[in-house]
Amino acid sequence: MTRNRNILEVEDLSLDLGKKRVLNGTNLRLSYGEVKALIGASGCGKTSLLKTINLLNRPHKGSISLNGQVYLMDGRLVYMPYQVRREVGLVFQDFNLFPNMTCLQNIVLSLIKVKGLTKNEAIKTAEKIADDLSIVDVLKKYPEMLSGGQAQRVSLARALVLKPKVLLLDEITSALDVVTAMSVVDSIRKIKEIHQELSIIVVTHQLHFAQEFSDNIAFMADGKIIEEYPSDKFVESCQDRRSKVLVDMMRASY
Amino acid sequence: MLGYNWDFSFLLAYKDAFVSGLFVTLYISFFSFIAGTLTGSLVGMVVSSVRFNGVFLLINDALRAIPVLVMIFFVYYFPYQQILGVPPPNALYSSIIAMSITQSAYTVDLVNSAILNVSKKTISAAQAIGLRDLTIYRYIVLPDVVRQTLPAQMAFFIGIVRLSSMASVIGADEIVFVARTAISQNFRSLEAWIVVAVLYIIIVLPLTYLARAVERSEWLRRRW
Repeated sequence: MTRNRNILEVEDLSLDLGKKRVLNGTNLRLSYGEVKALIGASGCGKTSLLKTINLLNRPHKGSISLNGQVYLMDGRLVYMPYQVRREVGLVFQDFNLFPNMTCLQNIVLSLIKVKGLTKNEAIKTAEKIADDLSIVDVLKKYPEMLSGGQAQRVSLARALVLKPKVLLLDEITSALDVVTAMSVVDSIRKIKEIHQELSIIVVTHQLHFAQEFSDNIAFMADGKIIEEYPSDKFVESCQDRRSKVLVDMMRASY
Repeated sequence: MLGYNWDFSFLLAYKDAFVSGLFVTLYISFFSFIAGTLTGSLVGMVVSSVRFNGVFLLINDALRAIPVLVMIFFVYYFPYQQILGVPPPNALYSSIIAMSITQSAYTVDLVNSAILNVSKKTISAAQAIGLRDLTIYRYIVLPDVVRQTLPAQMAFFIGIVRLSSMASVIGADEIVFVARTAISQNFRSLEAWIVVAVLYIIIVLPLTYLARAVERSEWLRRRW
């Protein structure tokens, strides 16, 4: 596994939702172990891009490859979506836990059904990850009984337990208050320390989160990535007028 | 009391008939409900997954519009021998078939809209972790559909218990039929109907409380 090859390559991806062009020839490269923050105004296509990488949206044009293997070629699927999704985890803004199951069941379901683990193996794996994310004491509870921070951590565990190569985080702290958000960010940091090879794309509206957590920041507008710089240089390097305005607004809100 | 000469004693002769009538009532209700709910759920699942299902739903709405009494007559007097070449079902089975059809039509409607009503976000989350469609159906969609439809289904069951009295018109010997027999042989009416009413109350009241308990349960609220 070479460092300079990319784990994920997105090329010329276009997506229409209804009559609206949501992604308009997006290109993206994510290298092994990289954390990339995706910023941009609401409706610029950030969430759609993550969902499309996870194949929850079906693009009409473009290619995506994971670890050198093309799974979407010119808008056509090369693998079944479920085969891709176990390698590319997606965590949602509003958790979307399965309400009829305990947190433990939420986490082990994919291990048993996707990876074919026995119940006992799955529970052991889930308990390990629950320990990393400090949610051991909520495993027996149902999602309705959790706080936002706990729910988001369970949701993270549900995605991480499959050991995906790429983790897509869609505004995972937006539904949380500042303190809880920070604790969730700390949890992800810890996960990243344990699994250094894990590559992450994180959509966020918080500049400080992007700066502290990611290696690179990419700015998105009108359905494509406009510019991208290392996180510590983004603020002074960005050229596009819209990204300057966004950065100013993000700094003001912080 | 107020000039009416109460006399329940004549009903003692019908004690065994009432007991067996009670079982016939429960038998009709139970089997119509089970058969109707199972068929309706299966049809509802199919209908909800078919894209152009307008015609199915129209036929289903038409079936729901037919009163149970009419359905019972229709099933009972249908010329089975001439059209299907099979012997006609007796009064008991005719009423079970008729009430199953009505129950299944209600269930199709209920299940179809419940499936459409399952949170799309939850389904996306299930897809996002690589679960396949059948697994999602089994572990995410169906548990939610059961929670959505159970309160209405329990109300339907209570309705069926009461509507099973219609089976008496074609001679199925459930409670009302026994009462009508007793009345016609003794020329006393009120006392028999009081017994019938009490029997229904004894069956329906526990079901009502059970339904209420389920509606209040934590289990039922585990959906978004």
